[in-house]
Amino acid sequence: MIFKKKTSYKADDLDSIIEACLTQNPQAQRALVKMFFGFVKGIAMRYAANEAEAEEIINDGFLKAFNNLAKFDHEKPFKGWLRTIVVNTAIDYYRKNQKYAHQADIDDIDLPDMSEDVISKISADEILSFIQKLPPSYRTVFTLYVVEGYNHREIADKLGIKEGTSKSNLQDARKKLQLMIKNAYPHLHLAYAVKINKFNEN
Amino acid sequence: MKTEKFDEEIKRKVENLIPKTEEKEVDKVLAYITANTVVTVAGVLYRRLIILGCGALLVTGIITWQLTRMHDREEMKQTIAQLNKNHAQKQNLPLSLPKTATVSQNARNEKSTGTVTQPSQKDQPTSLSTSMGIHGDKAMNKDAKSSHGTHARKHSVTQTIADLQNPAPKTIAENKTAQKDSRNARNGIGNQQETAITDKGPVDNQTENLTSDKNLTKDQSTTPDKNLANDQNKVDMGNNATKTEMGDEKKEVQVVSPELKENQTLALKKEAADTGNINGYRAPKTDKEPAKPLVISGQVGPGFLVGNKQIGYGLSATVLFNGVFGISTGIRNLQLANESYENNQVYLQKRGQTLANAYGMTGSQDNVISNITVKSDVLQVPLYLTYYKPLKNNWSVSFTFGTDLDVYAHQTVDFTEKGPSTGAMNQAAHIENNTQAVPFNNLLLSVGATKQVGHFMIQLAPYVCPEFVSSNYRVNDLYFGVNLSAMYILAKKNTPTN
Repeated sequence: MIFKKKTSYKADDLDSIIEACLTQNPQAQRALVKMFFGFVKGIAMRYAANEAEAEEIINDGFLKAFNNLAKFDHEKPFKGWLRTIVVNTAIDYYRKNQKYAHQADIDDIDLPDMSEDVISKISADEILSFIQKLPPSYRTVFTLYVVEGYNHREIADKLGIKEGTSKSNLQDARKKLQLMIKNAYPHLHLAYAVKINKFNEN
Repeated sequence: MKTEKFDEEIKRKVENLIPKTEEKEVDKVLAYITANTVVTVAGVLYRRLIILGCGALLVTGIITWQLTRMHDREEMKQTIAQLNKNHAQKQNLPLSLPKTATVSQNARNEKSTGTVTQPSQKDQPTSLSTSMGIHGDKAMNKDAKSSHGTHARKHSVTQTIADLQNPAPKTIAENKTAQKDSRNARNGIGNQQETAITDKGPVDNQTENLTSDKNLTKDQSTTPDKNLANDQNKVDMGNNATKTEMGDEKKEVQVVSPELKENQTLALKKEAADTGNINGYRAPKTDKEPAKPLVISGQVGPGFLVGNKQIGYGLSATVLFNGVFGISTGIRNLQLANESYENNQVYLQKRGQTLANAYGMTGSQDNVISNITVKSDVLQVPLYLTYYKPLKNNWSVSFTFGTDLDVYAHQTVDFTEKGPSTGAMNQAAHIENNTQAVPFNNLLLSVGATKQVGHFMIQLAPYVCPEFVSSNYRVNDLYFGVNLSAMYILAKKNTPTN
């Protein structure tokens, strides 16, 4: 059909917004972007080193979503579908700007003994900033494994690396993150160490 | 701390982080989507292109049809004038010897046809070949002896032409002598529709034969003939043969009279021109008319283009087929007008990406970029198909359809940069970038005027050029302007002239 009538939509009805987006309704597109921008940005930030990189992932992610909106299965949750698209976009971005060269050799760094209490006392923004400071290969593997829940084989397939490399990168990412937290919040770590020592003395 | 717990805590923290949404960020995303949306068959751009294309084709078709009709009418009127002139000249000449003559006329609002066949002097004498028979022959010979002479003959031919052009009922009393023969003929041939009389008599007899035949027709018309009544005002161009019946035997005689055939053509053309029913007229087929050979000629010359936000110059060449259809190509340098953006933010909104991303800039991200100017040069190979419609005085109308094959694109970007890397000072920067050319990205539709002056063909053609594939160097969806070219004719001109 050459001519498509522009469909109206209800601002609080996701299905009607999606239907309207399929007819290239700009208001509906705006509504959809506005509805999921925070969600998409949250995902993109985990894979990006900075705001600019995150912006590219967000843009490409939404673009892919709109281009493939006709393929969306309405029986499944839209959020999960969009999340998959954004994660895949982030992986594509990583592969496009692939930098396998390790920026720091941290094999000799001991994994600090860190309590979950320490992590809980640090804000999410700060945790995210630590993740963003990781080298791209570490950051991507860590996020895919820890946050998205992929296993090493899947990660290896997606990134085009060996499974062993994925495991190694994940371990190195953990070490580096804990080191960064220790350096950024020495008092928390110290308090935790004192607590542990007292527990051992008892 | 176990790694699992560490991971879970990190995951919990990160997943709960939902950044706030700002309108500006939403605008950026939408601008990017608008600029980079993949065009599909059902996409907006293709729909726009289809609408534009259909509209242009419709307008072009209507204009072409009207011009064709006008041209055909003019041509027909000229032909009629020429035929009249020729006819007038022939009338002033000494009488030639037409071999046969076919006459159609109305008699009492009924049509019948009488045919007079006249052998040339070289022809062998033949006997009368109709059942009109001897009576008719005798009457004719008798009348021949009465020697009406040349004057009567001329009068007869003139009358015949007048009958063809302005058919009107005839009076019966033109020739009483022939009336008698007509009755004889009627008795002989019954309800014959067409009768042929072959006469070996002298030329002078023909007038009488013709007159006699009219009367014969009149008499014949007393017998109702439905078929003939229906065709009262028509002359059958395709059938120059008349049938002669001898008893039960039918004999077909080919009647060929160039003069009368011309008159018939003249009458039909005049009627078609007067009524505007061009399609109703079909020129008689002639075996002697040769098929038109394919004539190929060429033109070459410079061309200039001025349009909205673009200017171009180049060299083009056209191959003409029979002077009507032309295939054009060449090489053109197209300069797109400078695009100006106040700062990087505006650039991002309009182009969907930052300047750094567009041109792979590696400078500091913290630098503020402003006063951006982008200039684009594109090397094109035009591929056009043109139809020329000839008009008077070496003018013609051209209808062009085609595309531009972009083979190379170069961009020059000037901007001002300010930030840590420039010591907080405004610093002019310049980027030269060979951007990827999109080969087929537009559709050109043009209607123009062409004038031949000596060996040169000057063409001025306004055009519209919708873009249907987005490229980095074209900002607009629609370009329009004027093409001006001066072509030198390489071969003998067969084109669009009258």
